[in-house]
Amino acid sequence: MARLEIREVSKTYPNGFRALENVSIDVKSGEFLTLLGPSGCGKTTLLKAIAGFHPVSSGKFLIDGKDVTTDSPERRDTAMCFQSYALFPHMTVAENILFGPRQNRLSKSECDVRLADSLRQVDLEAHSDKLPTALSGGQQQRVGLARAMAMRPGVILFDEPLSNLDAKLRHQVRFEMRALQAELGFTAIYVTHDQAEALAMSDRIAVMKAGRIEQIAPPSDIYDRPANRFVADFIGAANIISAEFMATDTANMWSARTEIGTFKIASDENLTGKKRYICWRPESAEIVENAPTNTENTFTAKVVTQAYQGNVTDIVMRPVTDGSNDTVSIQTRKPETIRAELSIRLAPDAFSVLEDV
Amino acid sequence: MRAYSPSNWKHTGVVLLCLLPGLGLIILLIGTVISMAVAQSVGYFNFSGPSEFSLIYWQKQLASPFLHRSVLYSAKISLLSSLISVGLAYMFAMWLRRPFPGSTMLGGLLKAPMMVPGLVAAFLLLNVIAFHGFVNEFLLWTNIISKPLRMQNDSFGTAVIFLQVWKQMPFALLVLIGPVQSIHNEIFDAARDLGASAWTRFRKIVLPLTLTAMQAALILVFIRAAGDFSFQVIVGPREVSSMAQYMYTVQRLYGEWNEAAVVAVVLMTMSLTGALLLAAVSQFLVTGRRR
Ligand SMILES: Nc1ncnc2c1ncn2[C@@H]1O[C@H](COP(=O)(O)OP(=O)(O)O)[C@@H](O)[C@H]1O
Ligand SMILES: [Mg+2]
Repeated sequence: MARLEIREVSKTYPNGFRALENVSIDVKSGEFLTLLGPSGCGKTTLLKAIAGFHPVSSGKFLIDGKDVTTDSPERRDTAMCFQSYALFPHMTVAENILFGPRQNRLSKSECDVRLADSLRQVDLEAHSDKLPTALSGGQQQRVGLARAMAMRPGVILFDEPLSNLDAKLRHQVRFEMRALQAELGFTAIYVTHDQAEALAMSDRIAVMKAGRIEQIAPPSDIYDRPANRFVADFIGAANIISAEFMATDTANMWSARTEIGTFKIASDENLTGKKRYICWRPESAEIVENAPTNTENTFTAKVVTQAYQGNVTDIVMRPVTDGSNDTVSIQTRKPETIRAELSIRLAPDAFSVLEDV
Repeated sequence: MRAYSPSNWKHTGVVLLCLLPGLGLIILLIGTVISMAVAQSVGYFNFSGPSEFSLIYWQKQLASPFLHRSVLYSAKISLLSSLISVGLAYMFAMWLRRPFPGSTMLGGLLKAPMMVPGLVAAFLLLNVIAFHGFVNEFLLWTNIISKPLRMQNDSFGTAVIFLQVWKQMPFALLVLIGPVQSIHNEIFDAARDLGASAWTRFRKIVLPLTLTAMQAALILVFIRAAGDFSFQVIVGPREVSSMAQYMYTVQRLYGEWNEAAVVAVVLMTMSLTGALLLAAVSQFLVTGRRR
């Protein structure tokens, strides 16, 4: 277990491409931190910089308070699990796992202990003499993890380790990895572009875009209180509209005028006179039966189309008060009638206040 | 197992007949040359006496100290040439593994020696290292030496090995670069992450994963170097002959066609066993010692 501090790290590739821009993250010991962002946003670049595979242009990495910025990969207390697994194809599972301990000249008995532990932890005891090619994708992924764990590193770095597995296995491995991490207590930096994976596994998520961190927060905050339109839109479905805030008399409760009506919005910020984007999640919409017109925080909209998902129904609606052709998405348990006009209520705490318009 | 029925025989016969135009030609071309040499070495195809079976030519040659010396000399030249060529080829292959500005041009330049005839190269080298060649003239001019150094026809065969490596390295590189490049970058990163130095990564990852290509390169260079005539004649030692040179001497100077055939058979045997031995030893060194 180790604490990792990433301090104002920037990276420009030799061809002049700026892949990381002033990234700072403080990863607590034993934390499971996920780097989440679209493809090409610099996740792998950051992970490889943490591992020491390439130098950063500026900034520092500290592991347990010690500056490791200029240390080579093998001297850092980190181990990496690769997207391609990067198993040595000519070595058996056991030889793969023992590669690190042997390179570090550990005693025979210590090597044996680490091999046995790693094999048991990833449940591959029966396969130790097989070559990687004789294993399934999920098993290969676990060999990669076991090989990293045999180094007993303070921090394990994962680069989209589940992206080559099929959906069902991915779900299962998510739970296994999280359980293993909790049991062994290593600090994990986990890269993914899959928001469901990030939400399910992480203590905290750092959402990245074009080399910058957009927001770092626990999954529920990322989902319920996104910091800006990018985060709101990248994680889950979101309805984003602009709002004009007016002065208010109640503490932390603001009136906001939007193109679909006027709403009371809860927020700790001082929003007097501000123009901001706001967002709400489809599932926070409530259908109000027989609502009298002008009930607080409701608007009327017409069902345009819907998709029944079994457990829920996604409905696309067009607000009747809105002059434009914009639609909103809501989620209900049961399908509604196409073209029906519904009253929809949004609770004051259903809104997140995003950046300035 | 299925017993061979007449229809199976027929089937096999048809397959063999179909293969005959291609395979037959190959066997004919290689087979005639080899069997001619073998036949001649035991007295047939005799141009100067009766053509009949005789072991006298073998007895004569096997007793000759010149043959022994040239076998050892050629084996030494081939071994060193193949080891150095393949070693250098690995260095270049690792260097050119990932593209960088100018790497394509560099790769092309490295292959240029394949286009230069060996004899031309030998004379060029001679110009450089000869008694009044560039190197000596330069050293004299700068007063580093007062008398020209004798560098050509050195008794070890350094100049021959140099030319062999110059000429054969591109072939070895051609054979090795593909397999080396096909190793995923993340495999190198993984090994490095686990504490393997550049040398260990080469020894434990690259060598085992490119073993077959390495063996092919070693065999290729060994056999090509074993049959050398032109480099040896121009820059080789005066006191010992390469096998091809010795064979030529026996046949041309002494007119001993049958004995020359003995040398030829010995040369072919040496090439083949040397090459196979090299492949076997490298296999053992790369995979056998693995813990
Ligand atoms: N060696 C490199 N040289 C130049 N640009 C690179 C290099 N490696 C990656 N990039 C660029 O940096 C950006 C971030 O890449 P990467 O970190 O791999 O993204 P991610 O892992 O988030 O998909 C991409 O736009 C990519 O094209
Ligand atoms: Mg990536």
